[in-house]
Amino acid sequence: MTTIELNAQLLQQLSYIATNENYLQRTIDFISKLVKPQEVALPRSIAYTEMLERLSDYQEYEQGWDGDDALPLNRHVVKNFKNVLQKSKDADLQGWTIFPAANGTLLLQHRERKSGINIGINGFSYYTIQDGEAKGENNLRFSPKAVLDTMKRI
Amino acid sequence: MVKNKENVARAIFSPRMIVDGEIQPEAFCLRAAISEEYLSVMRMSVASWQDDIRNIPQRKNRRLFGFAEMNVREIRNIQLKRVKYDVRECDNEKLLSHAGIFITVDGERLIGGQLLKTISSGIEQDFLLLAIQRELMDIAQKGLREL
Repeated sequence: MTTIELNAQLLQQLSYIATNENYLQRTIDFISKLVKPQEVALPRSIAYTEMLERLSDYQEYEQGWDGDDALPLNRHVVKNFKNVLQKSKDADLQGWTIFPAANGTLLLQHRERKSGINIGINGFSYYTIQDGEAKGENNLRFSPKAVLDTMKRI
Repeated sequence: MVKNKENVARAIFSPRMIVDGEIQPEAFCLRAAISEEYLSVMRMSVASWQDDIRNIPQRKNRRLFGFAEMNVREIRNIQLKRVKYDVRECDNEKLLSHAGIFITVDGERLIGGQLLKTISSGIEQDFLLLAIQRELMDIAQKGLREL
C-alpha cells in the first residue's frame, strides 16, 4: 500500500472516531506514544560560535606563528577543548575567550575577571588574581567537567 | 633611570599576536630558548625609539607589526603578591632607547624557562607565570597600536 493510500485510510478511520470523545482521546494518547518528540538542535550562543571560529583559525597556525619559535596547537589539546565546548552550556562560556600558547597548549581566559585556564594534553592549570594575589593550581587531571567546574569557580 | 612618567613600547612581531583587537598573553612570554632575562621595550621619551623599534633584529619569520604603549608607573605598580615588576635601561650604541621589563618572584629574577618545568610541548603552564603575563597584557591592551 502506498503512502497516499495509507493516508487516505487513516483519514477515513479518523472521521469515524471524530464524533466520539473517548475514542479521540485514546487515539491521541496512542499517537503520542508512537511518535516521540523530535529533538531540535538549539542554536548556540555567540560566545560558543566565536570560540569555535577562533579555534579553527588557531589550528591553521604553523610553527613560528608568534614571529619566533611557537609550536602549532597540539591536536590532543584541540580535542580536549572541543570536548569542553560540547559539554558546556552557553552561560558557562560568557566572558571567556581563547588564545593559543607558544608550547601548543590553549589558554582559556576571562575578559573581565583576571582568571584563566591553560589546557594541555593530559592536564590543565588555572589562575585567578584576587586582592593582589595570584591563586591557582598546576598539574590537574584534564576532564571537560573539571575544566567547566573551574570556569564557574574562578 | 627610567622615570615613572615615561611610556615604553613593546614591539609586536606577528599579526597573530593580536586577535580581533585583543593582544595575546604570549606577547609577554619570556622565551625559554634564549633564557630571556627581561621583556624588551623601547623608551618613547628617547628620540630614536621609532628607529630603534624598527632596528630590532628581524630574524626568522619576524616582522614588526605593531607595538603596545605602556606606562612605567603602571607596570611598577602592579600589585601581585610575591612578584615585582621593574623597568630598567638596557641601552647600547645601536638601540639608545632600549629598556627591559624585569620580573622577580620571591626576590629571584624570572628568566625564560627557569621558573617553570612546564614549558614543554603540550604541557599546561605554571599558574603564576600565566598570572604574571595577564597583568602585563591588561596594561598593554589599552595602548595597542598597529603600524
